[in-house]
Amino acid sequence: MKKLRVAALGLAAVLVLSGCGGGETGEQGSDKPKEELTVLTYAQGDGLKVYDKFFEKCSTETGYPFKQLQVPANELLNKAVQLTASGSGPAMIVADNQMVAGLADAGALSPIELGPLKPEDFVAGPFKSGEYDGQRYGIPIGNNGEIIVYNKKMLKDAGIEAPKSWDELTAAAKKLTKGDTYGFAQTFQAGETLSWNYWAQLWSAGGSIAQLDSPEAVKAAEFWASFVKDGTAPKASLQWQSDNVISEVAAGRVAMAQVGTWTLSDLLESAKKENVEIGMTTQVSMTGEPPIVPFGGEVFTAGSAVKGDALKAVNDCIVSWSTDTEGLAERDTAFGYLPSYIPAQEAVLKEAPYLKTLQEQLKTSRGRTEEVGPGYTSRSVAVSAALQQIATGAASAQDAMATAQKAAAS
Amino acid sequence: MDATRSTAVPSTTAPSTAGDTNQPNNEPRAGFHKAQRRKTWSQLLFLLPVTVFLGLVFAYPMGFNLWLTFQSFNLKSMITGVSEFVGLENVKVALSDPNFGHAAVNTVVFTVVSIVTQFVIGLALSLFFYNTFPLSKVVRAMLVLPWLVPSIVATTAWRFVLRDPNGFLNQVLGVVGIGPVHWLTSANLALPSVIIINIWIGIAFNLVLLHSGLQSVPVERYEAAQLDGAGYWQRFFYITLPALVPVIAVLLTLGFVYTLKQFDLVWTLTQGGPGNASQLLSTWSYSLSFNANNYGQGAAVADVLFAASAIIIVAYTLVQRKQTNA
Repeated sequence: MKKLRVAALGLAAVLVLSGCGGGETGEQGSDKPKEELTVLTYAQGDGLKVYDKFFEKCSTETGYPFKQLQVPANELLNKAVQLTASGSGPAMIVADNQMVAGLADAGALSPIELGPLKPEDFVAGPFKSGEYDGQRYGIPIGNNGEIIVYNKKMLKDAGIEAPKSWDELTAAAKKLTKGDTYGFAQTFQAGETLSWNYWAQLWSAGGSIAQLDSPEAVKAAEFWASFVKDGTAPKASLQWQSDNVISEVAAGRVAMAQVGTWTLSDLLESAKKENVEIGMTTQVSMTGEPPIVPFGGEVFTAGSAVKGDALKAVNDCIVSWSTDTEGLAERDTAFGYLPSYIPAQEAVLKEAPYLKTLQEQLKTSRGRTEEVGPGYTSRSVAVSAALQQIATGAASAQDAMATAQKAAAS
Repeated sequence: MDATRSTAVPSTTAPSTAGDTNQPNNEPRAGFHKAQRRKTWSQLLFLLPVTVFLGLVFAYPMGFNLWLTFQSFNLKSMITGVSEFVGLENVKVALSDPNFGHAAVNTVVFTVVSIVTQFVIGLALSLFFYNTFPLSKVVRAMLVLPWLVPSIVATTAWRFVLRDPNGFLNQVLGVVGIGPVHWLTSANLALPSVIIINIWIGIAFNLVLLHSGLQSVPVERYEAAQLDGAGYWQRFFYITLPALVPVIAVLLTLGFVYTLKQFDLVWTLTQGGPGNASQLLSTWSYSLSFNANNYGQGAAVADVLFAASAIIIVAYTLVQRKQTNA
């Protein structure tokens, strides 16, 4: 019994002490070390290092230590909200642009100011993606996208031009599929990337994310899933991301592929080793007109958990991504991104000329949440499952998309 | 020392002690009454730790899940804490979703096929290993390995083995002249592949329990039966199987619950795909809650799993009670 009492006292003491400690860090004076600012990201590999370097600079400039906390991309939105709800919200969130609406709507973000930056210096679509309900919550750091790459020699031998329309892509894929070579490959793993690529086809057919069972949406889904279904794209792509696709292209096992611009420098390097010459063109559209592609890329946002001076430090850090134009060009080149901040674009294109196709495509791009706002996430989940069902022949395009609309709208 | 012993007593035999304390109350005797009441209080006090534990670890999460089922809880509510009572709306939507029927059928197939197959193979192996022979212990230990390896490690390894188009298994098949099989990327094969791997893991569990169960069957019975001229199958059906019944009951119950809630295996291998082909109620519930942020619907699906587990556990308890009473 005595032992128990001692243990209980010890436990109580620990609780009280840790409770005090927690309180203290919250209301610190300026002479004490400043609170650590957590940055929630889903960066991986080399991207982490780029961010580390940047946040180190933010730490020295603002006096607040910035620290990255990485989570998987598909968990970032949830994690940010959970952390905020539990009182340990991140100070800054590096969000995919389609997440800003959801985060802002949930109340996980703080409004920020542009500082010395001017709105007209940004690409319009991405800049708008940092807004929600007329309030500015974030500043885009750069844009990526998926474009079509192709094996120049294979297309030349088959007498095919780079495809622009649905019919051209379908015909080219059929003609180029022979033996061990597939005509076309794309990311078909369930998830945001799959939905993201589909939206471009949906919009080119005249559909809307708000109506997944419209005839236009069904037609676009049928087209986008047709390659895996007909066997002109490998079935394995049902578990592939861009990283898997590029190694197949470089090895000459795939003639054409839609891949992310963030993989292009790797692709070109390995293709060079294999003596494969790579051509690039924009994504296709139904009629062959310039495609309307949903832009990718992240937005720097401030979490609703930070207030006062800490919020100002976060705001300064966000703004400094773009005001340090030289550093921005360097960072975005490493990412395979085209800066949303126009003054830095030229320097990046000089360093990475392969991003020209992306620049072309960005001119006619659109944000993913423009039609449905915070209701985007459930639609994205539903449509990626539907596309896989159509591709594997588990359901007709009509049925799969009707199910998706039903699941997403409820 | 004293304290631990007396906490153990009321928690295991709670119903009978309640009967004991009631009886003296019926025949009033001064003095004794007071002491008795103090005893009841102290008994209740010793129940406190286990009650608090059960409350925190079981009742709270289940209650919260039940509460979520009837609320319009979304990302916004997580921060504001505000959500509305929506009645059976979430249940209605989740159950009328075409994916529900699909996931439910998948779950039944997954559970039944897994349990039956791993039990039959596990039983056969345990009989095989009943007699010791050279290296039998080594081989047995290797068969148990799948169960000891963390499931995330085992399933990641399986991902490599089954990778489309040039995983290990497809390479082996290629040598024999069979073209690549789309184990995890075809709508027809994804679920069977997942079931096979689950069986592979489950065999070990069945083997271990049945093997130790066999050790407890007295050898004299076999000898006696053999003298009476009983053949191998007769000995199996009239001695081995009846002796194993308690073990089998535990085995099937635990197996059922493990299999019903299987999540990490499917999530690592296919994430329920391609296109929901290997979607189980557990993975679908997760996907509804944390990918699509429909917490209420996710909770409604989880309730179905709770109910299914509860039925089995209750059935098991009833069967067990009957056995101990008999």
